[in-house]
Amino acid sequence: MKVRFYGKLADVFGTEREIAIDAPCSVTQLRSRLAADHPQAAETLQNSRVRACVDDTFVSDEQIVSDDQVLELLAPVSGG
Amino acid sequence: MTIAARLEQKGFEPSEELVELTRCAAGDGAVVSFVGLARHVGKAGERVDRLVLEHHPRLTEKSLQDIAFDAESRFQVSHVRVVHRCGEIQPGEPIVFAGVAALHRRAAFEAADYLMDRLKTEAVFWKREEGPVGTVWIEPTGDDYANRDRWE
Repeated sequence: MKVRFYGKLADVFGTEREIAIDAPCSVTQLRSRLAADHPQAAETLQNSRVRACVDDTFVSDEQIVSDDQVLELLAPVSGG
Repeated sequence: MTIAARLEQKGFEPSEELVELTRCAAGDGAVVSFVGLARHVGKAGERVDRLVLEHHPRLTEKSLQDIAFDAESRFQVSHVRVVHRCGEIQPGEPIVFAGVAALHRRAAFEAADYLMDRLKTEAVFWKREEGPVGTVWIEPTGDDYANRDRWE
């Protein structure tokens, strides 16, 4: 599936990458897998202020995502 | 009643935003506005050459609009105006304008305060300072989140 990364997550993963998944999985499972593969980003990926989006809608960590979807992972946001 | 929230790719002039808000506010008794500026130094006192605000192609502007609408629904205000920069910002340049008009001053002060607490922690931007020491990502502090949580 396609995963897009924003903010400091893009420093580690680039802005977009293809992640092969055998079966639909939860956002939590995907976060854990990315953290295992990239330990330097583990702390950020486990931060509850990092939010996941599908189709421009924020989704919970329990959300099941499948190979044909695009998941966006947003590092903690800050305006002002 | 007007609610205006927009993302600016290039610079904007806060005084023009205030003029427009004041023009809309004819009949109101109060206009309160806040302008956030890019700082010359970082938290540790290091020089900052530029501030960079990355944004999301769709969610960023929507977050500005949602926050502006929430301010209008929560307080007795007549007009809400939010302008937020993205991209490269030089020290001293405006980052954000948050302005509110209301019949009475208390609601205008509170709504402007609310707007900034929400923008600081929920507007969809990723902010980094660049300077001689490198790049530092800027995230909301514990105080910023506590200030936002006051309104819950």
